[in-house]
Amino acid sequence: MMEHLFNAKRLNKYIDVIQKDNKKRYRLDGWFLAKEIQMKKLQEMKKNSKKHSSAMTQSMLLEETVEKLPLSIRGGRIFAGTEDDAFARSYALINPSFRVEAFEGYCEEEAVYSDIKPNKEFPKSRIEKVRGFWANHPFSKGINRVYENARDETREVVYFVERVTGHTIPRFDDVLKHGMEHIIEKCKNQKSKCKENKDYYNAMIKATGTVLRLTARYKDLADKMAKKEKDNARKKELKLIAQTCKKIPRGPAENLYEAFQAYILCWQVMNLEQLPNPFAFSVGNLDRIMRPYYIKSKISKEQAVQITRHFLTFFEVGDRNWAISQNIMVGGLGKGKKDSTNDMSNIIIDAFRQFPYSQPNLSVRVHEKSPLRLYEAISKGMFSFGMSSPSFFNDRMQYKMLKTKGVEKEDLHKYGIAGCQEPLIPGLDSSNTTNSWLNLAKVLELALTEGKSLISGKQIGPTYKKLGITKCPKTADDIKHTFYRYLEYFVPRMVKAANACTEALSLLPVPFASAFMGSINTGVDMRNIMKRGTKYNGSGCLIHGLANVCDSFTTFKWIGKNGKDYGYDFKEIINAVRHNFKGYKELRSIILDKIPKYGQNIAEPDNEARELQIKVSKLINSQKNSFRRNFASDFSTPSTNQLYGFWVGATPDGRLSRAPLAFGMDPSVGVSKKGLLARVLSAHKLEFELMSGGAASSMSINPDRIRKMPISEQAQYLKKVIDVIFDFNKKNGNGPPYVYFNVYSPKELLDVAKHPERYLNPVILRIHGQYVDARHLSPDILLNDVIPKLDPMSTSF
Amino acid sequence: MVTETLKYNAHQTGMIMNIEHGSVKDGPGWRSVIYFKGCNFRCLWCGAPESIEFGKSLLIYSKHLKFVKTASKVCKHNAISKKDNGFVIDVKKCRKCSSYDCIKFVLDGSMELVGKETDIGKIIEEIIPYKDLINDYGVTISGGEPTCQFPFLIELLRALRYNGFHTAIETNASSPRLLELIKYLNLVICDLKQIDDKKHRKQTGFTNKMVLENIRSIAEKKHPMWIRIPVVPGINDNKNLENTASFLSDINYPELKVELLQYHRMGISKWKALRKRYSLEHVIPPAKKKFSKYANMFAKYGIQVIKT
Repeated sequence: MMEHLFNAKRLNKYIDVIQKDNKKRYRLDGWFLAKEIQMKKLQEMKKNSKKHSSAMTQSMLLEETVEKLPLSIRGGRIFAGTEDDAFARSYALINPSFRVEAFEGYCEEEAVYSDIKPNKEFPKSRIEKVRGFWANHPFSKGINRVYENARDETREVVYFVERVTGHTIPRFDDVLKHGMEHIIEKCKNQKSKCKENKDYYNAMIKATGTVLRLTARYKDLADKMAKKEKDNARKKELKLIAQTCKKIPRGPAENLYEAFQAYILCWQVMNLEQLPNPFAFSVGNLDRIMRPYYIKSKISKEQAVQITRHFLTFFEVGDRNWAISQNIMVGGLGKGKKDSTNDMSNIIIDAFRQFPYSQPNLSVRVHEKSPLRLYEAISKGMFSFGMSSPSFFNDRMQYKMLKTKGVEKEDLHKYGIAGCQEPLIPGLDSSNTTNSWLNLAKVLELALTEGKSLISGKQIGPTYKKLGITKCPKTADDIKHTFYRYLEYFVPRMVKAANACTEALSLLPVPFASAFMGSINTGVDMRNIMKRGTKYNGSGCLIHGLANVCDSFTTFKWIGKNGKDYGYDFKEIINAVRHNFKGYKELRSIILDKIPKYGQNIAEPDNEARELQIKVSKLINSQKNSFRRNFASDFSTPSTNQLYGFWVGATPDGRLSRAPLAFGMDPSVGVSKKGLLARVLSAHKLEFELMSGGAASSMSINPDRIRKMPISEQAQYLKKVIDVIFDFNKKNGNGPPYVYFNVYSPKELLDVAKHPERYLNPVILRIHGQYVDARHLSPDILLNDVIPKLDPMSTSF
Repeated sequence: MVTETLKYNAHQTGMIMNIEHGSVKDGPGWRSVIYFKGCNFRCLWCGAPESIEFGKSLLIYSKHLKFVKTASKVCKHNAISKKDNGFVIDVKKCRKCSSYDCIKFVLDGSMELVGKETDIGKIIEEIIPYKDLINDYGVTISGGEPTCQFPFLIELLRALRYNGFHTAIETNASSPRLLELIKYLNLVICDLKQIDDKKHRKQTGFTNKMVLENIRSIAEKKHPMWIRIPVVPGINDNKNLENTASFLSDINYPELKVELLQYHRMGISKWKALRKRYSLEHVIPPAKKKFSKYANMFAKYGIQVIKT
């Protein structure tokens, strides 16, 4: 029936209807309603004398939410299900109202309630009641305590910590293949086999059952709507939704449409379980998941593309088009090291090409033998104005990094990307990826000032005496030694605070998500820090300021060698930094003009970068998280390089106070005067294998040149660029794990910044792993972070 | 290094300006461009006048030079003295000493020294990592005029071929020995600035007889060749281009490609910095429309035009 009903043209038209409808929905109150429903349920449960385990309590709250949350199937939708009820409208780093100075290094759990603008339906008193209730929850108290304890250090971002919701890749494959009843049955079987954890299995059975309840409600709604519907074609579609909801996810999916629908319903419940703002839940290789169902479907390729586009609309949330970081992948090596690109990969790429919106993100896994037809499919859209998609992931390096993290060989080919660029094993890996954030540049500042902030004048870190440093640093080696002493002081403090967040979060088990993360086998929740419910548990640490600190070390070394000729010594560098180079213009000119920097394929500064990266990676990778697993060093900075830079005084590499830090693993903007390939060669000297949490590099492609080429030539050029960056031309090349491109000229983006109203379609920009619409981006980020990175000398192919 | 010296002399020295890596303009694919110093032509429109002089050239961009404070005696010949808040240079006193100590202490790019002596071993060492990165990486030798340093050039080409680079030269084609290089070159890019010899002499200070002969000979050998024509409005456009197209059509080499270079004024600041007069101040770069008209004209003659 589905193949007759869904005419590709009609489906295409519906996308416009959905987009127009999305734009009108500027209130997102669903998450608040859910929290209110849960509050009432908890109050009711408190009256009842029966006590429940935390997992069972969470399942009951989920059940109540699914039962009571208002549902709708909006115009143009061919799938039942929405993400709207899980996310608040703003509350993300790069939304249009964000300004860098607003960051306070503090993530109060209840701050999100300020997102609900009071109105008649939601008066202030109603909002405050719910806020007040949840503020007293042990989880909130635990998190707020972490920030209180680390206040001085997080306020000026020596480091930052957070509890991580979302950010995993569940495996719903079995639901699609066998149906949810089969999953519930499996839980029951496992429960009967085990002596312990029976209660947790009960919680999982209840939680997984909520999908069936949600689906039943959608079925009733679709039936009701169909009866009232006057348009015959729409009536049939609504009937199909109802029929499908009767069948799946209870039973197995038998075609692409049913598989997408089942996936959506599971995803919706997973979101509701972790609301508000469960950022960065990701799909993994959608082409591999969906191909069996595409083959079973009797539909044309064009129909499949249009149905896939409708699946993608599910990931859009109201009118908010920034930073949810939901990642979908295609391509890459499959089992037995064979390329896994298939017809579904092309359908998904095509669907994205016709769907230039900011959610979800498309990522492509590539390796040295990725077929040219994959690059051809990508080239059809990537270079058009407003696209700049997808991201590229280097299978070869990802495998090595995952091995460093302890992932077993048999799991490597399954890897997917959660959120921006963090590699995880779908269904097995709860890696807490954004748990901690480290600011190397601030650590250097405090190492040079004996712990006193150059921004606030406050004593944030210990004095030399307290750290047992007996003499003031007088040589470049002394400076490095002092820096590492401070790093060794701050890192355990960061880890302690990060782990306290993880521990607080463990008070809120997630039995639904856990069922698709391996907990059916273990009987233990994925957030359980004592017993570990998933095969892999890590914690991430995003490291900021690599280029600033290594170039600062080069400054000290160079001044040590040549300073006499120029009349400067270490003391003066430190004084210059203290005074933000005021009165030290000449010294700054020397630093900027004469001293080589990382990113120009010059041995000395590149070696400094390598040494720093290796030492920091090893230090981070040796830290233990609450699961007693290792942290993973991740050299990526999702615009936080700007945010954290705002809290760092001047640095000895010539960077002025409060200026942005260098991005991810990249050199500082503007220093790569020897061209882009020199920058690539410098990067290849880093030890990516140790960056077990990931790494990010931002590049651009000159649109003027590539847009003149025919698609076949574009594809060849793109493949060549990827082969160079990822070092695929060498047998044992050492290329970075991830790269993204912005295909814009600075002139084009400046015009978008000045006249967003002139652009009717989204202008998708790449900021780290996130896809954002440049028309709705914080001007701070667009002008100071994105446009400078389009520097044609150092970043543009 | 021992095996290399058997094949080429890594110690052969020459004078270059610089090496640019990752260029996509001067030949097929990605390549490094090695700019030789010194040129036998004196083209009125030259966009890189610092390349003309053999030996080092000092470019002074600002009246008031900036030096580090410790450089009280920057020049031992007293060519540089303090004035107001900065420094000034008395060019007459400059002895072009080999050390050019002044450059070490100059700040903010107010003065620049162009030209450095290097050897083939160092050049190969600098560019070989790019070859490791990209299998079909190429090198274009440009200038200045590369053939003016013939022994250095031929040795460098041997070294490049030995190391597996795709090689190209960008030359004004005036050297009587140009054909000797062909066996080391995958591509010859010949400038053809003016077809009329009288005008060629006036505009470049050199006859074009050898240029045309070289172009004909390379075409006869069916060797890959691009012809580059810098289109300077009022100097060598319109009729000259028509005549050039006719000449290139007559040599009957269908594989030949022509690249029209748009005249630009970016070199003017360098003429000033070299304290030389730029005689084409009044010339305005041609409009895009006109440029495509020229391209169409070449196409009518059956000549392939490279789009840049």
